Amino acid sequence: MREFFGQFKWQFLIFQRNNLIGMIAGVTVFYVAVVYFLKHFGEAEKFVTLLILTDSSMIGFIFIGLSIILEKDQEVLSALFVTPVNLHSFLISRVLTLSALSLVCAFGMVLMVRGTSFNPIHFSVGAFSACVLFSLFGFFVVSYTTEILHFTLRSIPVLMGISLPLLNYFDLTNLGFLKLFPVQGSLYLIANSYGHSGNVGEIVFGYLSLAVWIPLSYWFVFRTFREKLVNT
Amino acid sequence: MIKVKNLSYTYPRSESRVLHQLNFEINRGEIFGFLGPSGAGKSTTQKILYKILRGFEGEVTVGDRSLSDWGREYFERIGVGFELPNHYLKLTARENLELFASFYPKENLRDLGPLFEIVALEDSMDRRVEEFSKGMKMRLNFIRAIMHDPDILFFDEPTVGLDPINARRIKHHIEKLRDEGKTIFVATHDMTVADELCDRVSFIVEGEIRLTEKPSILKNQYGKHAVLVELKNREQKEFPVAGLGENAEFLEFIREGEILRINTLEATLEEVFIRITGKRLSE
Repeated sequence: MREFFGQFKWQFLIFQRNNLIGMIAGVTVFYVAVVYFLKHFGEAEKFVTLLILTDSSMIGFIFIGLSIILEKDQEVLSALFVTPVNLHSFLISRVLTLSALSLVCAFGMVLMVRGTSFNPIHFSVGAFSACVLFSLFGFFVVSYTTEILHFTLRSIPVLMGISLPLLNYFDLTNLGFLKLFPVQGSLYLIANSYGHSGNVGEIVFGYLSLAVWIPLSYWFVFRTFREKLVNT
Repeated sequence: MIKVKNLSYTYPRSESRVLHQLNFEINRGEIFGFLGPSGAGKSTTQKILYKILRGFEGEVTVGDRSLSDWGREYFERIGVGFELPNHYLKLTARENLELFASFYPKENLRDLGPLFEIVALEDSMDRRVEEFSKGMKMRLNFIRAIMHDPDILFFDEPTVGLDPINARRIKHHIEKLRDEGKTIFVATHDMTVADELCDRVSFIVEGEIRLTEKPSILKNQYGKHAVLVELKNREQKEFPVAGLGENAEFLEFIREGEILRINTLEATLEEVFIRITGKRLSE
């Protein structure tokens, strides 16, 4: 546990020194400003949800990718993997650091639209888990590349695929199978946090979906990362 | 300390082997040189020894256990000095070491101050590594490898990128570590470094070890048992070492003129390498 919290602290410092915290703050201010102007229009919450998912994908997916590419480029990973570093701590500390930052941004946006009139538990779990999932997918994609351009090109279809449940959310489609996608759970929890009671079925489904998808994605990412980046 | 028996390796999804039946041993308190040109298999062998590559054939024993039986504690016992600088550039030198130190048990860690003094970086401890020259980063590599007091050390081209004074400083410290009983593996294509540092060397070419021996024996075995006498007037002559004191021609020659230098004609390690492997190290 000491090692895990140690890594958490170091990750935060590395992100800060590489100006990632500043970039996150900048993006958040921009999103909060967008939300501020949108809140006067109908269904502003839907845009908040969209922005939260966009923000999570930006912070989780892109920043995980960039940080790993940076470390590969500086050959730091090879130095790390000949130490007793725990690979689980390495992966989880990064995911949690970025997800915590993403959650702060998400709170900024929802407070702007709804004040304190939302369910903080469902909202926090939904927003946090969205970033966890996007970060894990970021780890997965970056395991197969060493260049920013490749990472960016591969990110586009992956991010589009992951975000497909938004089609149902915006009533553009009504495809049942999209409910089985990883971020559907986050989407349900965020969407239902705005109401006073929410749809209990969707909330339960949301928690169950995340309880399945997060460990499953993590297991898959752990194996891929170890095979592609550690044992090479 | 390290025993390698019939080690072979083929990379996944590759049909050709990169290591072929390697055999060598490294004792405690020994500096073992692994010499070969780029692509000879040095890096692959090292990656196997520091437990990054799996799926090899043959036996690798470290201490009293097979390499595959070691868990994470293995990494507490090894230290790796890489060929290229690899640090978090936005962190200071001290922060870099503290970050890596956080992975090791505290009781094994050496004080950072004296470590920085070893490589003359004590005045730069709190500077960001991005401001360092390559040589400074390499010196930081070196102390990161030894900060947790490992029993086994791997150094890949330990003096590359260093000026002569700092190269001497690092070599001296590696010798000191050997004298403390550490087991040291040095991979290099620099024959001068190998000659100065290593107690024994293996020549590796195309994934095969062609020979393992002490540098002094090799130089003697493959050189001429003769001395070359050079006079100030540039005249020079070779004389066999055997019976040199009674060699009338030799005595006459050195009386004839003022001696500029007398050198033994033992081979250099590089010459031995070329004769044995048929390859140049820069190939």
